[in-house]
Amino acid sequence: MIDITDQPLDPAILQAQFIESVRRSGDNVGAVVSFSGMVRGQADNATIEALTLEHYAGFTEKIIASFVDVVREKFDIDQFLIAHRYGTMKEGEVIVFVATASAHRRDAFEAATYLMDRLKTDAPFWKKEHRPDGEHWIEPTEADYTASKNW
Amino acid sequence: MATILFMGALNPLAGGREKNINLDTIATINDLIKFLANDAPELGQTLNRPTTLVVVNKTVCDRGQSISEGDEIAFLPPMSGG
Repeated sequence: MIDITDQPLDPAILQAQFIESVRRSGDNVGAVVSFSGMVRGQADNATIEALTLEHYAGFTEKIIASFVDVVREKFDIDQFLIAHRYGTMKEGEVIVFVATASAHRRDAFEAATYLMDRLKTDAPFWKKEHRPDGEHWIEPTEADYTASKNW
Repeated sequence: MATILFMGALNPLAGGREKNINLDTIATINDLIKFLANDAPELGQTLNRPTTLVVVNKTVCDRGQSISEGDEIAFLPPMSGG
């Protein structure tokens, strides 16, 4: 499931709902992995007062769905959840929650890592940091691009 | 009219996120970029960068793509989710 939302994400609730969904599915799941990405309070020694994420409705969902197609080819995954915020967030708020379920842990871990690496560099979101000296649009780092290309 | 969207860091260069433009003399994405660059040279340069993605009606295209009235054309600078 893919959920692009401007509403706050609660990882505890999302994880519980995901595990319940896995249990009900009847799939032979033995591993669930989840990742929560949060707004940092500092970047480049500057205070981050807030973070705004812009998205492109309709296109963002389409591109993320294409990542999932690849995940299903590369890994033995039964279920997944990608929940991603847009709009303005404060320090500590959850930007993204990714969960994967598989028969075995390695596929669940690797599928979650793959999804996060693609989200960092190829998902149609744009981040603007609100710092004391003004607004700054930010781009992926070289490390982000390298992680994504390595798949 | 066509709707032009300028995402992320292109917002300030374009003076906003969205513009509606009459395509009278504009047949392709390249024509559109030249038209936009007349008023905003820095925007034109950025739109020509290989790292700026062109999306027409929610499908990724190259800059030779023909465009028509009613199309939605989006320019996407480097993306960063997660």
